Amino acid sequence: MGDILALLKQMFRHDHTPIEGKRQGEMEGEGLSMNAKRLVILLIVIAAGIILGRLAVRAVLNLLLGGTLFGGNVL
Amino acid sequence: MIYLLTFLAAFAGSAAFKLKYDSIHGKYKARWSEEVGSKLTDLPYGDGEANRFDLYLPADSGKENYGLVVYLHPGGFTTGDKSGDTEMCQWLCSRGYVSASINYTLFSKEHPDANIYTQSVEIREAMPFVVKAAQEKGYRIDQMAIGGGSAGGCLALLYAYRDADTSPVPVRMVFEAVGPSSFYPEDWVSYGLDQDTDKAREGAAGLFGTMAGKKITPDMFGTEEYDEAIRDISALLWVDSDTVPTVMAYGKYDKVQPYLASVRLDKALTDAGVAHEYIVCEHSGHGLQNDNVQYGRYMSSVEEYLKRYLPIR
Repeated sequence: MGDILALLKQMFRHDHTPIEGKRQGEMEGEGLSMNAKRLVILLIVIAAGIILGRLAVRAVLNLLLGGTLFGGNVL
Repeated sequence: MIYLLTFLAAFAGSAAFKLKYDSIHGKYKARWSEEVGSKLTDLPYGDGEANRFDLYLPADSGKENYGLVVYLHPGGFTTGDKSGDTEMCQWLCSRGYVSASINYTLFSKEHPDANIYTQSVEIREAMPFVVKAAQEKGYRIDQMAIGGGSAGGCLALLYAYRDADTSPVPVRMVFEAVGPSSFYPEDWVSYGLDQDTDKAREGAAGLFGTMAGKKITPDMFGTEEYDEAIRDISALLWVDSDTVPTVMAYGKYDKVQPYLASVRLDKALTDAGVAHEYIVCEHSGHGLQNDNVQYGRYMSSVEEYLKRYLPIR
């Protein structure tokens, strides 16, 4: 939870306090890029969790009852 | 860490949703209340502990005649209970039918002599009690349909195909899913009984003999003697031009009962000119679990056949 809050704070930061060794424009550009990457990774992780969760249920039911892993219902 | 927790939450949530998801969106569930119907529980039809049935009576008791729909529970002939049929029976009752679910003596240590044949006889013997119980409550039954799933499907087919002549009221149609309709070893692939080995043949003889309650030996397979021995539990062998209209659904990858037996049944019904719907779930096993569209088609076919052959008057 703390990580998510820090991520959100970085995304929506309005102050222009320069970070040591970096110019302001460069700092903001790098911050957005990092956050965007984290967000994309989070979305990929969620998607993977959803897909694998459905596949796991399907696989277990197929083991007991028979059936294919793909085809018919979407996952 | 956050990624791991997020993954686990998404995984668990997705799995839970898939398990709970109703593929037919409640279309075949009734909002049960006194305004829909009433239920009588554990009415006796015999002396056995399992010889009980539940009766569902529609709230509208003013009609001259009613159609009865009996639904039989699954459970591999060894487990299950009529209480598992509640949802189906409530839905049928909400449509205006008197419905009933019937228990039968399951094969167990306490009842080692119970088999498909004795179970089918119990169903046959129960029917006059079901009709009489409805009539005593003011619901005159003049025709019926029967359905079931898995073991219940097998028993429903046997009643409709073999025992319809004994029924107190005409049987108009049968509907079932994944019920075994014949017992030829070459069809029982998932059990390995199709193998050309002594072990497979002896296994088949033992299994089918227990199911039929008869002595079956491996040398009987492929002979008329075998057909005669297995006839009493094989709905397939009772198909003729008078067989009632049938709706049936099977999973192509069924591990529990043989899909190939349903192919035989479809062919027999087609050859005999019997009206029927044969729905194949191409990606599913015994639960028809991977083909929601096809399962929906099965239920809508059941609805259509009920409207056509057992109309509400």
